[in-house]
Amino acid sequence: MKQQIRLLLLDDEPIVGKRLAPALAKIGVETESFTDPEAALQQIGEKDFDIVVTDIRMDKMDGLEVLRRVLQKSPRTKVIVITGYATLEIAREALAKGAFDFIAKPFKPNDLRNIVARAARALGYKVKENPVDSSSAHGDPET
Amino acid sequence: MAVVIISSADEQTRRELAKNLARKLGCESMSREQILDAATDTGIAVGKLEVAVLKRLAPRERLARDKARYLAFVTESVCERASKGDLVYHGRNCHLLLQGISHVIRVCVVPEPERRINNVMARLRLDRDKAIEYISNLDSDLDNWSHFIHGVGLTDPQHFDLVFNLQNISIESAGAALCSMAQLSDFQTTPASIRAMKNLWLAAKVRHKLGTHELTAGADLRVSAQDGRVTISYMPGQSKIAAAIPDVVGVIDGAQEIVCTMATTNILWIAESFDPSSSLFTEVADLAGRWGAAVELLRWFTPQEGEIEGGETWLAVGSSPGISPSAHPVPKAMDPTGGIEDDTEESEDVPDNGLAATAERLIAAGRFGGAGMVAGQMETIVTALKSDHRYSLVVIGEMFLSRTALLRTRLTRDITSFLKEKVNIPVIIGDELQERFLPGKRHLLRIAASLLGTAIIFGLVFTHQEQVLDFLAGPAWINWRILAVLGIAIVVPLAAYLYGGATGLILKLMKFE
Repeated sequence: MKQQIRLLLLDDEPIVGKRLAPALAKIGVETESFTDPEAALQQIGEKDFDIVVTDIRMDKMDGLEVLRRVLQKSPRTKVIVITGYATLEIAREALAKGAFDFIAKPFKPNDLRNIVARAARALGYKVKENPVDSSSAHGDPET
Repeated sequence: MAVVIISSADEQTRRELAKNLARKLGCESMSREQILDAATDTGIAVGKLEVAVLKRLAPRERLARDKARYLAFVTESVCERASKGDLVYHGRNCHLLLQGISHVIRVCVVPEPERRINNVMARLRLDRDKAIEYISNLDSDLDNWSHFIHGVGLTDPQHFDLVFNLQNISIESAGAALCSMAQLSDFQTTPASIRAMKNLWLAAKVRHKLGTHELTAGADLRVSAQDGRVTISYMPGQSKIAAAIPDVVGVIDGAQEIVCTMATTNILWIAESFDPSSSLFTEVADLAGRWGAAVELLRWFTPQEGEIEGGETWLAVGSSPGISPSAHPVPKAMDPTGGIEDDTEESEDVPDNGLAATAERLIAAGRFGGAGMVAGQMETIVTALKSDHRYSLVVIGEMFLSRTALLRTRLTRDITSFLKEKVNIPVIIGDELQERFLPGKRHLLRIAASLLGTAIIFGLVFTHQEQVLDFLAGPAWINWRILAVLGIAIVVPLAAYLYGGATGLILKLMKFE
């Protein structure tokens, strides 16, 4: 039985979730979008996610704190950090703290799809090499 | 007025020293991070530049333009703040920003390693091993950043006036030393240093304005300022953009006159593979600088080797075809997309054999005239040449790379001969460029030999005037007038050739061509 890749997207700008969720659905990723970090963390506490994509600069909570709490709860979860205020220092900090990858805004949905596909493969899901052309609506765990 | 610029890989160390010094000088300190946020808020994709360095992304035309916008914005911001009074500015490699201004003190701070590790462990909540790894990775990234943005290493000592090693001196003492240094006459403002800063500031303001306007954001413009006169140079293929420049620049404080000049000519560099670190790149860029020319790049390959057949993809700007508006997006301060752009068909990973990297270097040098790829037989090169571009030279670079050296040489000569026949432009193989157009060791030897020959002729004539006059008109040679005529016919042109050759080469060395 095929299993859906579950992704939580956290960005305090609602437009980000609106634009990225349909784009990620193209590679068989089920996305839940949040704009409130606390609500997102509550959901993470209640449900397992394969991948978490989080912004860094948010009013209520730092994305790096979200990263820490996600990995504390589920070390296997791949956390991808996105930000419009990327610096080498922040990127290195995120990677040192266990982030899977780092992406700077502005970016194209396909840039994120590529990273999400890589994260999914690292988790054992089969994802087509070129996610843009992927017609697979579901990930298929290899293990 | 004191302007102190403190560079260090460790943000905490430079921040502490900057605050200490600012307190002593009675002024405020400003950090790179403050400017960075302002730059990002105006829509400059600084984060993309930073991540490009982190991920070692291949240079792209768009990155080169983002880099130019970033540098213009930061230079403008620092100059503006420095014009108001004393300033202590700190950043990771900000000492490279205000070059050539004598009253700016450029300081390198080497953090105390153990303290730095402890700070990272405490601030980032990392264990010691991870903290050491973080510092090592970051230092490597910062050095790459310095090379990427400024073309020099982070710790190159020739760009500093002073280096503090905090293993041997406290921040308090370093601050006191810098405070005393700022009082030295060497670092006081002079009319010349104030003028240099105003020129830098004005050029940065204009560059920033041009780089963020939709009409000019994709153009390769060289901007310089001298006492209120702003000169903007554009490439021949961008004449349509040039008409809009005065309106885009508009009224800028300090600009009394705006002059737009066009690079007078184009050099076309055709190759299968480009390498911005090669000697040929240096020679072509040098020649372009001497001639005030733009360099167009054309990657040509034969169909059996190529990824496309008979097609042409021009990456050039301005009047060149095939440019989509999204190729040079204008920074948007209020981004309604939340930083999520639309997917495009363009592939970021098409191998281009160094084309984009070379274009990036030329953009940085202000000499980029466009780039393109074409596959097909030799005729496709002729059809790819832009009729509205005035080429003054075609340089043939690395070609037929999959062939043997002997065959490569023969085919390269064939293509050179073909182009010489088909286009009314000088065509030259890259290996001959140095010899033909650029001064080198051979030129020095030729100058020396020519001058020696000239000196011998003149020396002999002036030290043997009596004999010469006798030979030309004396009674002893009255029956041998034909020899006098032959002598003049040989010696005078020879002397003129030697003297003319030597002076021509000397003028070439002095860039008077």
